[in-house]
Amino acid sequence: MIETARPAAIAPVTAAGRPILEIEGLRVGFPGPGGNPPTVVLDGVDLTIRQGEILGLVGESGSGKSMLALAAMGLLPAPGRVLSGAIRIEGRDLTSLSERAWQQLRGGTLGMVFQDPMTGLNPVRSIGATLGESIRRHQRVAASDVARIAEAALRAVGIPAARERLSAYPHQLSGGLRQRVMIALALVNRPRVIIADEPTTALDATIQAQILDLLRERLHHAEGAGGLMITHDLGVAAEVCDRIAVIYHGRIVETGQTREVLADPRHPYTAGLLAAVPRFDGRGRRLVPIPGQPPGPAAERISCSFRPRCARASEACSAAPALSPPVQGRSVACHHSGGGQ
Amino acid sequence: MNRGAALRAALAKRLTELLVLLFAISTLLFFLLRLGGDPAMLMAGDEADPEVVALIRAQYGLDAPLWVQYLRYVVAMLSLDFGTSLSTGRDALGLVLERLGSTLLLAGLAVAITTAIAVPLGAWLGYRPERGDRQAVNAVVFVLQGIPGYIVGLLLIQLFVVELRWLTSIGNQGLSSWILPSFTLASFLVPKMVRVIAANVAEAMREDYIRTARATGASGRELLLFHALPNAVLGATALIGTQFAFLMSGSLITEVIFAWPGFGALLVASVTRLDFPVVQAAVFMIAVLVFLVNAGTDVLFSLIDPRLRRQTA
Repeated sequence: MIETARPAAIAPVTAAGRPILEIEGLRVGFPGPGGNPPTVVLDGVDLTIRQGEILGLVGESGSGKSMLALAAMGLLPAPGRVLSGAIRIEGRDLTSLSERAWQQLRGGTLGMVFQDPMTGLNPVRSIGATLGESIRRHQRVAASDVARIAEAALRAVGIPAARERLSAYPHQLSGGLRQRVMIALALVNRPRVIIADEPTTALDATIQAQILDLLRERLHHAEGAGGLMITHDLGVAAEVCDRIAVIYHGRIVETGQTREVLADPRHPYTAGLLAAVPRFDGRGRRLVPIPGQPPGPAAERISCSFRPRCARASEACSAAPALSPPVQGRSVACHHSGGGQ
Repeated sequence: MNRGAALRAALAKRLTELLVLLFAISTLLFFLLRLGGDPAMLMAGDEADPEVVALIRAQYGLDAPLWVQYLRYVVAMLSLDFGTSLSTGRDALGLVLERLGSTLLLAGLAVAITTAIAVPLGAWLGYRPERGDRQAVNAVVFVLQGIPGYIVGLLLIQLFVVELRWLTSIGNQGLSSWILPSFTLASFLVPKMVRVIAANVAEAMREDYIRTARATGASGRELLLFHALPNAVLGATALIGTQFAFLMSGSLITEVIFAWPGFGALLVASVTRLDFPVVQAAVFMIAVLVFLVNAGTDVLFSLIDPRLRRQTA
């Protein structure tokens, strides 16, 4: 039941390369108990990431953004599964891959950085062993070269004394260093798609900036690769990403170039998120929280999901809005967005 | 504090613990034993002359006031002199020591069997604990945990010695006589170890580092063998020390059932004969062994767990 021939939601707007990761009409759900209809956590998501670009996927917790990352890695927690739609890497659909084929992609073509570096590394394996395991799995290299490649991977993410660190264990490293190791682990086999899920959320504020710098630099450095950065923090997305997609209740509600989305948010939810970001540019400005709570995954999707929290809500919002065709790379799913509607 | 000094301090602390422990156990044992009865009466027999009984008492120093006996006992123990056996007249500690090898052989075999069964079975159970077949096996293990070890021993004898006549069940007469007692003793530990390892593996499989390894392309088998199992076994290592005392009490029963020439059987026989010196020497030996195994697992633990390993750089 794969939907085909959907219009690509995001047209090329920059001179960015060919699409590397294309997600089309992706629906992900968890089967309901006793044969009830599934709880849908992603409902028709369209995203395209091109070579050399970093896309930021921004949303609150429960919006489905991490599910999208896990779906793209083939790591959806059981019993969650892809209900329909396509996930394509360089044109190859992954949704029907065998587990074995996924294992070849993960860590090779697909690299992922997780949120919490404190628990994300095996405490009884040295850094060198963890990196070496992944290198041996995906690269055909002589055993004697594994340590050299691992050391280079650590150096590339700015870890000092890289050679000595190979024999270090996670507990001997700070949180910032551990996240650098996680990034090295994601990049060591030169993936085509790099997914980072809240990579700085668990870190101290001072370390966050360093890790964001590193990610931006490394992701742009990775030739022919694309990055997907998942965050709840528009500030983080603004820092790192070329384009932004805002996700709400399992649907993309707005996409566009980062600069344009931040300067002129078209969806009330995006505007609300922006108003809730603290700024440190000296201008006194009240933080305006978005009223209400995000809907749970099981909430109905007949009307616009943001309607109960939206100041602009009207009768028209009882029908769920579709994501508009892109105009200059911008799409929005709102009955009241711009255009004099 | 440098490494040598830290090591010496740790060693000194351990030794102090051992001495306090041995002193406390010996004192407790001394008075408990003397509540049990009069060995002189037992030796002389039911119809003995009171004079004979008195003579025996005097010969073994049992006529002195209890506190005097206790002081003599403590002083003698300082030079590891536990006295002579009341029933054989031989050196009590010597009797225990010459049977030490057999007991350690049995305990070692039981630990090896336990490890060989519990690690693979626990890994299998813990890897996919939600599956029906695992839950069925888990229930069986749970029931087995409730069956006393001596029943296992008797059932094994009935099957392999009486019915099938494959194995011997009496004494230490080489390999074929080792199998039943070592499996019987292992049965004291196996269900518990299986459950601990299964629980540890199941817990490890939910850890974030498993997801990280998955994201680097690890297969289910690699996740289990390289990531979950090492952490699970490491957690279970700590249990070996505490389970060793349990193993020793199991070996008392097992040695009696199989007439195994270890000091556990000697201890049981000596208790029934009120042979105080031998009981005291045997219990002393058990305390030392339990202590050494605990200290040993601590050291082992700190050697294999990188989080506890000392920094050399």
